[in-house]
Amino acid sequence: MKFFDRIRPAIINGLRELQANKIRSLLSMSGIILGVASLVAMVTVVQGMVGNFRQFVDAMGGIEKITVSREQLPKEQEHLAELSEGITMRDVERIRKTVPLVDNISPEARVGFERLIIDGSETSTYVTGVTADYLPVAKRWVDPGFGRFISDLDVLNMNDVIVLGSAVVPELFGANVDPVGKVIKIRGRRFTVIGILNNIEGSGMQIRSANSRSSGGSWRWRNSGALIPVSTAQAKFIGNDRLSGLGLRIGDAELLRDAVEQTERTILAGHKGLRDFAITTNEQTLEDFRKTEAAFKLSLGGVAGISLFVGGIGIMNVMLASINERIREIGVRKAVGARGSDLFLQFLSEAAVISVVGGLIGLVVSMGIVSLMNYILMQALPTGAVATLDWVIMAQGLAFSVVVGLVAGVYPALRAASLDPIEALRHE
Amino acid sequence: MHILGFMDTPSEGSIVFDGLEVAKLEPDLRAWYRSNRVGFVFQSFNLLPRLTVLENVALPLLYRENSDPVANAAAAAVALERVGMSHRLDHRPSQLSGGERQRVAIARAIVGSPSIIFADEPTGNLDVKNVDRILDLLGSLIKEGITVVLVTHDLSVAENAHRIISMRAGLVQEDRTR
Repeated sequence: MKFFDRIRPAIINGLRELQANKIRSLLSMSGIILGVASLVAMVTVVQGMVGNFRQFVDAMGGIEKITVSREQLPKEQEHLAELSEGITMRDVERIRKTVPLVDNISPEARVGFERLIIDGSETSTYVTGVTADYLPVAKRWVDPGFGRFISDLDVLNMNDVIVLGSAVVPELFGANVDPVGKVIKIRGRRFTVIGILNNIEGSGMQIRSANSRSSGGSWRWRNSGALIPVSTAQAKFIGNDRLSGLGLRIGDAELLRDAVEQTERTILAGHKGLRDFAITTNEQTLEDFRKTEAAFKLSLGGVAGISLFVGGIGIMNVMLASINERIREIGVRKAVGARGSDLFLQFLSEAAVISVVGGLIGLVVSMGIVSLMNYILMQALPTGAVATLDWVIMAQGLAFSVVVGLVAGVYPALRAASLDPIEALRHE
Repeated sequence: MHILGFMDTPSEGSIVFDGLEVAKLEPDLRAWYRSNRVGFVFQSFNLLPRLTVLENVALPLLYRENSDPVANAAAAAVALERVGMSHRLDHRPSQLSGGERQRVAIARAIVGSPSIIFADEPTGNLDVKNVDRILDLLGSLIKEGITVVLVTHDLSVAENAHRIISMRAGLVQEDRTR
């Protein structure tokens, strides 16, 4: 309280100086304003990207997902191509038996981009053969009231049943029609719709995926597509027992590397040493992204840091100019009893006032920048919403500007405090 | 004058105030004496242009320990009353005449109830009518027991003093008490 009593008049004084020299103060604040604005806006946007990427990776199956896909044989094994069986249900059995780290295995047989036909309407989408394990591996589900998913029995009996992505339904049936039980023709075969996959809605700022088609934004591809039993796909469309790939889900992300290693050895043994497959994880993607994020933060932080530094120089400059103009005032204050520390505090408070006001203006500017970026992103991604300002970041930005102001104010304030009162009074 | 007023220290000789050797005081202690024991009146008034009359007068109290804004303003208003400037509390110095400014400056000098006031050519920038008014004011302070040390080139102003020390080129020529 006592300290506040000491600095209160200094703060009032600082505001008065600000008011008396509006243009000069604004110019001196511009560095701080831009620094805080860019710092807050950039951190916000980068954080938005980070959040979205996490979501994106999650939508891809998360960090606990391992993908096994078909691969060309390496050069030294090319002459053995005839021996390659590809990935089959036998791999699924082997992994199930020998890799206990793997909780779920989802074999996938891509049929292709097919025309789905009903009376009076048709649409084209990706048709894939899967088993019941698709749901836990892909982290998907069928909401209550939207039918059921493909069962083990469907796979066993090679049933002609189909589960649709939520985006396919309105394209085929229009709005407000329950498609469960309806029949769809694919290449002349009749499939009964047994369920609809859950609808994935993106939130936060979105990353445009290479897989996204049409104008629906990046989540659309996750909601399109149609699933049939893997056995049906192999027997009635593909014509052999090959799979296009496996999705594996492990229980513990910490054991990802062990699981990958064991899976690789198991498949390799089953394939008689032929490297006709590849194993990928989202870990690499996440790692790449982390690097990008770090690089972003570093460069943007650098830009913001430089502008705050320049802002600090601006404040120091205007403080020195202001002190030069007010040498006589300093002399008078000293003559009537001000100590050096009183004047130090006064001019430091003035620098702080400039930086706080500048920082607050900077926060307002950052709101503008963020909404402008959101607007631009909305144009690019119709479904994509955006980055939101976080109070913590704003508070940090303001705190940063105050620190800069205080550091910049120390030297001018020391100069004011050490002025000789007699010299100061004589100053014209 | 600056040495007398605790603003500077002598290169030789000594100044004793209240039994204390001024030259040996720390800067902060000298600031304490300026704020608590001494008042200054300058030829060019030296009021701060951005502060109001009331704030200018309260300025010396701001730098005292346990300074309280409300009490300071009250004390400043009393000091301004004594110099006849109560009607100008919220004006800026630039809105006042020279005589009025000097009266405000005197109010500032007396607001802290000093035991001594140093006046450096206080009438140098004033017309005859205002000179008389300021001298009357200083005279009334003397009657209240405040010592006034006044430096002037004007002999008619000097004639008002109880003790006149004439100086030429830094040396005392004459010291007479009336």
